[in-house]
Amino acid sequence: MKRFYYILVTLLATAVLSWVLPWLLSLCFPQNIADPFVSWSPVNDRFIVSMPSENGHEDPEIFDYDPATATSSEHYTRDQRDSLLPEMYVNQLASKGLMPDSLKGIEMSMQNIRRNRWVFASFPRDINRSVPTIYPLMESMPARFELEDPKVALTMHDGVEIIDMETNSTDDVRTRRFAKMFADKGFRFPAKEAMANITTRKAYDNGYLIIDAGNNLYHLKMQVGRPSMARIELPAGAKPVHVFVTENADRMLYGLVSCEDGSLYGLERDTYRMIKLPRVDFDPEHQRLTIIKSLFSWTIKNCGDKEIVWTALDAQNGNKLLGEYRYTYPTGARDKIEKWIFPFTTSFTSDTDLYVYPRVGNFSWHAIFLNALLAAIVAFRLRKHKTGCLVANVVLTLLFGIFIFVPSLVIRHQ
Amino acid sequence: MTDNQAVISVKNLTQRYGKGRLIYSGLNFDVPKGRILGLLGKNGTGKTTTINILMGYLRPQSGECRIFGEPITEIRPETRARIALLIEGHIQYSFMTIEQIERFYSRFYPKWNKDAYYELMNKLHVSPNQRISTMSCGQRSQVALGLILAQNADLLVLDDFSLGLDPGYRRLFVDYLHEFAKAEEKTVFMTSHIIQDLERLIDDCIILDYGKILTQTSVADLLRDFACYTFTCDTDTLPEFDEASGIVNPSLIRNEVELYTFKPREHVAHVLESHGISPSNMKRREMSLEDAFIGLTGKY
Amino acid sequence: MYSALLFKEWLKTRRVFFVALIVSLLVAGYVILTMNSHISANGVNILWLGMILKDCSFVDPVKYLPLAIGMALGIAQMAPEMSHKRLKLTLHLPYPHSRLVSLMLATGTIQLLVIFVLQAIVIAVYDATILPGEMVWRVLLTMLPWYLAGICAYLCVSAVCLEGTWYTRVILSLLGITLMMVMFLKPGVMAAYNSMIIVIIILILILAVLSFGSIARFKEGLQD
Repeated sequence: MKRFYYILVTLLATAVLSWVLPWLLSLCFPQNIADPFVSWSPVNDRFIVSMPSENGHEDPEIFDYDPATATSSEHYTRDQRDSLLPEMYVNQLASKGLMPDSLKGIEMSMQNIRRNRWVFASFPRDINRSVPTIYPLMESMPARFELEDPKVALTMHDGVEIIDMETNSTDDVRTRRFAKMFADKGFRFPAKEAMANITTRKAYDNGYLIIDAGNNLYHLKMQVGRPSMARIELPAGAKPVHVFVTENADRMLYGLVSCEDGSLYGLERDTYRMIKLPRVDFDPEHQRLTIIKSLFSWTIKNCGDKEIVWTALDAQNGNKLLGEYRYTYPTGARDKIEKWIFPFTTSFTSDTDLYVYPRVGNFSWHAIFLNALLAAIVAFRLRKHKTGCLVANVVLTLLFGIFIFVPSLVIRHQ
Repeated sequence: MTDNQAVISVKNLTQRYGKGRLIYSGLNFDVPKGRILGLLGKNGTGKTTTINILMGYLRPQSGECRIFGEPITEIRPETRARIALLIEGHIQYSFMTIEQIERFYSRFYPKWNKDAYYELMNKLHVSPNQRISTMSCGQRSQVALGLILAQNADLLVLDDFSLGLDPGYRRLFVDYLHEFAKAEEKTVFMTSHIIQDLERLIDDCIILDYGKILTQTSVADLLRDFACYTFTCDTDTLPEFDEASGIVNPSLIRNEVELYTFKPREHVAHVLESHGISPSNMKRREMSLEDAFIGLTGKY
Repeated sequence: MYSALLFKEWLKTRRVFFVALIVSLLVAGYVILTMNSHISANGVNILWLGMILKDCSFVDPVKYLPLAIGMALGIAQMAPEMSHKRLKLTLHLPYPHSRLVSLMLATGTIQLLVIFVLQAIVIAVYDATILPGEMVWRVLLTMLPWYLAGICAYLCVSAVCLEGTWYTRVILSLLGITLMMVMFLKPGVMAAYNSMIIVIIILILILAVLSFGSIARFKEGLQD
């Protein structure tokens, strides 16, 4: 029992240390390097890059990047940058009287800029999390024109059910209406994903985008208490995986649809046409995506594991590709040290989800040198022990390195 | 176990404090059925350590210990039921009341004698609902004793029963225990640092010194064979007596000499003469067990 | 013998058990009152929206309570055994040691389960009157790791109390504290620990073994 106990405590401590030691290292070497800010300039038709300083306290380095030649020609001051990005720094330019009346023949009024400008962001954490399959349903055409908080909720498990929140019971009348509509549209239960923006702080309501069990895409709204539903025709080969409802000022889209092959589509309002955004390879479960849509361009920022890719599309010319800018994440001091010390690390949380469970990763062969040194120390310490015990300890130290070395030193087996 | 087999058997027991000081080496003793054996020694000589080893709370460095013929590390629960244990300081479940603790223990021991327990408790003038933690040390000792008597075990192991007790309670404890052990022919293995209490109680004794056993014999034989001689002589210092002389712990105060020995008077006189000492008025002094203990172990 | 041992464990833990039960039910009552006042002020639909969209489970006051109860029960049950090395008395009882330790741990664990289940039932019954079954289930899944953390804390404290040497007690305590940190990594996110439940259950089994190890070490003489 005593031996078993010793092994158990040592292994438990090893598991715990594989989590604690990397965490302590991250406390000692914080890596808070901000991403560069990159935007497409309609003035010089280049990317304008604001590269933050390494310590984050000094002014960013601002330069342009021409995707056609993959070169950078000029460095800019902040004021110069403001002029190159008039849609973004509209207030600064207007206050100095530097705002142009028009650009490329398009009116540059504040109203026109604001109406055509919106930002969309998708974070893996918003997708990789436990969410209820009860969907509050807003009235899209409220009697008093002001959006109100939902009073009913929708479930789409074996069939459709409308629940009245006040009484926590089924609203039979509406359930029948919705069930008929769902049946008429050929909806296959259960729903895989349904997405809406449930808030009254928006100008209008686009309702839900829903993916059914057959990977079909639907648009659902409740208007005057009745269902309004459309089955959206998908481009050939497109298999929708995640949907995002946008309710932007330009009222151009119902939302965005990401597909299994990494493509991203905009779902055009009224026509239900799926407009593919070229060159975008987006995995919402692992990548952060930000879209800044302006009068002249779409700047799509896609953050992967190792690099960020900005894609600029021409908003005035059928979303034609304007160019790409890539930025590889720098290796921080922590990463450099970590790979030499730890053969692997354990974590329970992740930046890309909101679940807690043990995950072992960051395997590093560089740590074998330290492991071998520690194994030699173990072999020396246990030189008078039985061969089996010695070999087991050396092998375990070679595998688990510092994580097992520390407990084997600290935990006494007397 | 047959009747003539030892209840406790200890063979070649060696124990140290951690990796350091030797407590004893090669300790051998048997406790026969029906005998009361006292393990005597100064503080730190290993009395409680021996009890801990015998009760399975400490693994010895080497040696073999058996109780009722079973190795102490593998004692079956049924055998444990035949052993009553008194922990140093009369420790009991202090969160229980007098009544609760009797009810608790009664479930474990087939020969439980409730009357023996309550007979002793009635003398304490405490309420049956009084918690043990609120009792005085003396009262707690009586609860522990009552439980031991009620358990009606074949072997009683008592670790320093006299600790913290005033003379009255010590006497009460000894009297009850003696009567019980002799009437029921129980085997008792006990330690105490107050030797005078044991003289009326124990049959045999083992006297431990630091790292060794000084003697292992019956109390009667010890008091018969171990003698204290006093005499006067005209000397300022006493010579060093070697082990072969058989003289232990000699002391000189003014011209009065006091020495202890297992050897006969003639042998002592011969040894003294060989060292150039001419004793006058040499007498053998009557000794109690405590005197004999101090004579053997020394005052320091 | 079995009932006598249960009686002994009950005598040690009954006060903590009743206090913990009352506090747990009071906290459950507080959760219900908070939800009720929220409904009175904003309407039940706003409560639904908060729970569905913003992960407001309303059970946050419960979070660290099982941990505290587990530790208190462990101390109440095991500390008397180690004070004056009273464990020697227990180990001298004519009862197999492995069954003895199992019974001690089972007694404490069952008491914790009674407290936790009663509290969860009170909250769930109220929730079920105003929320659909799925939301009630999510609230229970949110509380489940906290309750399991309470059992882990109890087992850690038991192993620490039954351990005979201060050195190993400190090691076990550090281990226990770190494990407890894992149980409270993402407060406020409902049902985040769903995939961790099985890991925590395995951990509970491992932690239960620690007490047996502590006893085995005690019997070897590893005591300060």
